[in-house]
Amino acid sequence: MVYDDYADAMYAICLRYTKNTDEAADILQNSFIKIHEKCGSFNPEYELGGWIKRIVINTAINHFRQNKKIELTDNFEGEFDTEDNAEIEYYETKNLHEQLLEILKEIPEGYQTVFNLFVFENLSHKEIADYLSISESTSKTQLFKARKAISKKLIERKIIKP
Amino acid sequence: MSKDIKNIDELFQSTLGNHKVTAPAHVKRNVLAKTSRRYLGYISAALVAASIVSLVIWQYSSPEVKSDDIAHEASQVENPTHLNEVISEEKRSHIKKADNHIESDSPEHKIFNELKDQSAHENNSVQKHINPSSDNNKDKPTTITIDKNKITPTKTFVKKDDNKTNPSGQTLEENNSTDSNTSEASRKPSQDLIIIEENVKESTTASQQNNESTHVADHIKLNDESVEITEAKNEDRKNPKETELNESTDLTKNSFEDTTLTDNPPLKSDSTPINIDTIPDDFTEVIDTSDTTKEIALDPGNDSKLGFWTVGGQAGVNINTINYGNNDEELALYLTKRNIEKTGYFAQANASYTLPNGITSGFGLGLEKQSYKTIYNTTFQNTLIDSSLIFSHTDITVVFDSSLNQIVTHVDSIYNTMIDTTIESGLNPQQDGTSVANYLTIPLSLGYQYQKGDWILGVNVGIKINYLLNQSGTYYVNNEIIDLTKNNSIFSKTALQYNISTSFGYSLSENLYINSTFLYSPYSSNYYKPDYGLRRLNAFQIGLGVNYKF
Repeated sequence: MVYDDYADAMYAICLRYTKNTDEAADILQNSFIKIHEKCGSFNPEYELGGWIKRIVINTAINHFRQNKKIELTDNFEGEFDTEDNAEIEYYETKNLHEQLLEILKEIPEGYQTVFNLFVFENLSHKEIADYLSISESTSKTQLFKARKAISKKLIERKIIKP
Repeated sequence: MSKDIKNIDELFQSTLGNHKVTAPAHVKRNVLAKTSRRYLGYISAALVAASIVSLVIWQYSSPEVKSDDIAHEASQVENPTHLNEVISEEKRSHIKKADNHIESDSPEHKIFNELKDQSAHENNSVQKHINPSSDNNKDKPTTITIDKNKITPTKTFVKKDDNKTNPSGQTLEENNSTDSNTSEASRKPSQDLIIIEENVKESTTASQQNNESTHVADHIKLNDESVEITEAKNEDRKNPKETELNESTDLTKNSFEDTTLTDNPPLKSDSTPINIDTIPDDFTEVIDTSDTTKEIALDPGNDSKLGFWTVGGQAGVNINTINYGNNDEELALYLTKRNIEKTGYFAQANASYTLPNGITSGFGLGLEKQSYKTIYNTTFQNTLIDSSLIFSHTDITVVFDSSLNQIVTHVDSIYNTMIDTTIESGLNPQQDGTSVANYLTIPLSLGYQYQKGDWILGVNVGIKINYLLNQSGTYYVNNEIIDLTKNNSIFSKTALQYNISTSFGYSLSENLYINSTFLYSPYSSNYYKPDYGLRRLNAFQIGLGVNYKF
C-alpha cells in the first residue's frame, strides 16, 4: 500500500511544517485522502514519491493559508545579505534530529515555511514567492530572519559554536 | 555527521532531508475509513442507478414478453387442433356426402382422389417448412374447394384479412391466386365433380409470428352451385383489423358469391363450425356487423402489466442538526449552541415510474438552500484593569537658622492621591455568524407505492447527490472566524446523502394528486471537507408536492 511506503517520510515533512504533532497528523491524513482522490490523475512517468511529497507540502501550505497562520511581513529595513549563510562549526550532538525539529517549531511560521521551501524543496525565491503569493523580497527577508533565528537557537543549544 | 557541512542549510538538509518519523497509527485508520466510506458512497450510488436502469430496461423489454404472450394466446385462440377438428368435421361431412354421389369407378371419382392426394401431399410439404417447435406453426390457411352438384345453393363466405402480407412474405393475393387456380381447376367440365383441396400455405418463424399477422384461411368452395368459405384470421396486436362481414347469395346467377368476414381472430368460443346445410337457399341478406367491429384484447391482462409515469414538483423545508462527533467538548468551549441548527428550503422536480406491483423508481433535479446561524463564544474576553495609584507629594522647606547655625528642615505638606482606574476592553463575547450554502441536488430513489381509494402511501430509500453551487457568510473554525468563499470553504464540492422517506398522497383526479413527504437522512458526514473534523448532519426534510400520472 502506498500509505505504508510513504507515510513515515511524509509525516517527517509534515512535522517540519507544523508546530505540533496533532497538526502534522491532520495534514498527513488529509494529504493521503487527497492522494486517494487524485490517484487517477497521477502520471506514471513521474516519480510517485515526488508527486506524493508535493501533495503533502501543498496540503500543509493550504492548511496554514486557511487558518491564516502564515504571517509574512516585509518590514525589514536596511541592507542585508540575503545569501548570508555563514559557515558554522558544530559539536557532536545527541538527538540532533529532534533538536533541529524543535528549533524549526520554535521559529515563526513564516520563517519556518520559507526556510523549509528553500532548504528542503530547493525552491528559488521566485518560486517561493509565487507559491506563497508573496513578493520575492519578502521571501528573502523571511529566509534571512529564519537563518538568524535558527543560528541563535543552535548556539543556545550548543549545537554550533558561536 | 559529515564534516563537510558548512552552513545551517546543509546541517538541516543532511540531518532532516531523509528523516523519517513513524506516523501515528490513527492516521492510517482515519484514511482507510474516509476512503472506504467514499467507496461505499460510490457503490451505493452505482447500485441505485443500476437498479433504476434495470427496472427501466426490464419494463421496456417487456413488450417482447407480451408478444410471446400474444403469440401464445393467438395460438390458443386459433388452436389449429380445434380448427382442424372443425374443418375436418366439415370436410368429412361434405366429403362423405359427395362421395355418396360419386360412383367409385367414375372419372370424377378418380379426379377427386387425385386432388385429395395432392392436397394431402401439399399439406405434408408445408408441414415440413413449419418449425415443429412452435405451436403457431400449426396455424395454416386451409382452402377447401368442394364442387357439389345440386347439393346446396351457391353460397360463399370469404373471410378476408386486410393485412396483405403474411410473415413469410406471401400475400393474400397469392393465396387468392392459388385459390383461383384451384377454382379454375375445380371449374373444369365436370360440374358434378366434388373437389376438395386443402391448400396449406404457411411458412413462418416464431419470431415473425411475434410481430406479424397470423393467418388461418379456410376456403371451402362449391363451384357453380358451390360454397366457399374462407376464413382468414388475422392477429395483429398493435393494429387490430377491421371486421367486415358481407354475405350475399345470388341464386339467379348461380355464380360465385362472396361473403367477406374480416374480423379480429375469433376467440375459441366463436370458432363454431359453419354448417352449410343449415344456410337457407334464399339467403341473400347482408349482415350488418358494425357492432361486431371491436378490438379484442388478445391478452387483456397485459395492460395491467404496464406501469405508469409520474412527474411532479415538490417544495419544502430542511431542518438539519450537526453532530460534531468527538469534537463536542472542544467545540463547547467556544460555541454557545453546539448542535447548530441548519435550516433552509428546497424545491425540486421529480419523475418516477411505478410498476403495477407498486415498485417505484424515481429521479429528480432540485435546488437546496442551507442556512446556518451560529452564535460564537469567542475567545475574546472582557478585560478589567483595576489600577490603584498613590501619588505622594511632600513640600519640604529647608530653612537655615543662623541663630542656631544649623539647617532646620520643615515639612510643609504631604498630599496623597489614590486613583482607581477601571479599564474595560475587549470584544463582544458573543458574536453571531451566518453562512449560506446553495446546492444543486439530484435525488434517486427506489421504493414501493400503495394506493387505496384516493389515498396513496409510499416508502422510499434513496440517495441524494448534492453539488455545491455557491456559499456566503462566515464560519468559525480553528478559533478563527473565516469568510466563506470559493477558495476558502469548509464545504465539500459534492456530498452524498442516504435517506429514507415516506409520502402520503391524495388523488384530486384520476391523474392528479398531491402529496406530502417526510425524509430522514442520518449522519451525512461528507458535507464538509476532511480538514474540518467529523461533523455529521442529521437531515430532516418535509415537503409538499403536486404530481401528475400518465
